[in-house]
Amino acid sequence: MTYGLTMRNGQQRSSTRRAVLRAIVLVQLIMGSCVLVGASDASNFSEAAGLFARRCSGCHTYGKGVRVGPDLKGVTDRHPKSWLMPFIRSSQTVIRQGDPVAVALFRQFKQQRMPDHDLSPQQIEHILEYFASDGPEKQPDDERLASTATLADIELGRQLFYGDKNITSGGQACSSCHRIRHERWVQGGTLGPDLTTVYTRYQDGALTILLRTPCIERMSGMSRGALLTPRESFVLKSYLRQVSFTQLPQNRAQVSSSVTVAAQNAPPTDHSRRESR
Amino acid sequence: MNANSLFTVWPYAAGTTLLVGMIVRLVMIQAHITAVGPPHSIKDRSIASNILIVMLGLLLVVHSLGSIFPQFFFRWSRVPARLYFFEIAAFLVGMLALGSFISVIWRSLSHTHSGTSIISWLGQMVFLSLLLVCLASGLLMAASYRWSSVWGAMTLMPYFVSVVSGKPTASLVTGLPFLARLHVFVTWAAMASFPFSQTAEDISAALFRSLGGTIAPSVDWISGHYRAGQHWLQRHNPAAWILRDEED
Repeated sequence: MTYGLTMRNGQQRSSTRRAVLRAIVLVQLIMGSCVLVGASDASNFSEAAGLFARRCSGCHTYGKGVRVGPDLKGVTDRHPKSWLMPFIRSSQTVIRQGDPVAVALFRQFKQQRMPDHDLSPQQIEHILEYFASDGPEKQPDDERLASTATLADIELGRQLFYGDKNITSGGQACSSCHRIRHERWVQGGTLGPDLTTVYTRYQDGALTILLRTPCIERMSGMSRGALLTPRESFVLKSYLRQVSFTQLPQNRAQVSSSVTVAAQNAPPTDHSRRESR
Repeated sequence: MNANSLFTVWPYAAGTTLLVGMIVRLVMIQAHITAVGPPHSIKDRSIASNILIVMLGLLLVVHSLGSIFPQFFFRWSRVPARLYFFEIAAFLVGMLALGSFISVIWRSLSHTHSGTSIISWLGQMVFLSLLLVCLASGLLMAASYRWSSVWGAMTLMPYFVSVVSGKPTASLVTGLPFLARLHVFVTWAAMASFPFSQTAEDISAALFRSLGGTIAPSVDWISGHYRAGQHWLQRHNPAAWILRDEED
């Protein structure tokens, strides 16, 4: 009897374990697919942004009025996707077919012929999703001003600079070739220039462009193109800004003088009030 | 010659010179192997020579590892203490190599070598000078631009691999400081001058002695064709009928 009970309990425990394992695997699969979808969404977004910049922005603006062709802001609200897809692919074909909307647009914009685009249906879909989500007006992460960074961003930038945290693309830490004065000075390399005052010299815009370009050409086996993700670029820029503003002597003097001025302008303390009486 | 061709064409010219030169050396060594004499044993060589051989061997191993396993150097250097240790140790090895090299050259210059032709002597001096510049530039480079184990594994080693794989990426080198470019250029130059040096003759003799049975048939084949070519040239030498009066 006891043996039967033990057997039943043992079977119940193993079936429970199996169920828990299956649940864990299922949750991991769901999370993994979310990550994959998120990653592919991000890559679709950047592909669409690139296509817009290369193929469309010569004649169209987004939210800035007519250039050669119409402003594309809200285009997915004005026209259905079933019309936009063939029109983007070959506007002249749609016009020749006598589509009234296409013909009206053609006349409105002085019969400027939009060139045909050899884009796949998926690419056109990504571009339309890009327009629907106001993609052109979204600022890439690395274009944010470094002054908007939090302490956590600056700390992450420091970790990336010194290699305490790995860069996503597998590239080497900045300190392999560059150094910052007065901060882990020995750890920084001297092949490249000292980066202590790089933010002061280049400021946000130019530094953002610099960080988009790999310092050293990479051999095949490493991903070519951007060395840093937009997020990594932003936090590194934030760290370099923080370093620029705290390491220079004149900035240290400015900091100390501002502290002195603040102390002079501070309201009298209770002790001084008692003395003045 | 622009900087690009200096690092894209010159390595292959140097490599070809090395290969062809060593084959010719092996062929020629067979003719006068007895004149070369047995190789020196460790006891016969000076302390400086032994240190030099060991240090050069270590440097060669480290450079090779950097080419084949650069990721190892990247992971190793992530911990600052390990990075400092490796850099200091490698610098000491380089200093020992340079010091022993200068000592060996000084001894070589001090002794007269009878029986050595002027061409061999000149070839040896050129090779040793280039090797000296290679060692010195490497040390100066490591001292001037620190953590060369890391940035070298990012630039110079991938450049070397790109040359070996037939697709040289000169931009990995041309953007570097002068010392780094000098180090690379002189390395190729030393490779090209090696077959003309006395050291190459000694190594050829040692190779021939150790591999004699294996390579002898190939060497015999080449030697046979070389002698046949010489005989043909002698039979069809235009000087014989142009300068007939002088021969009479």
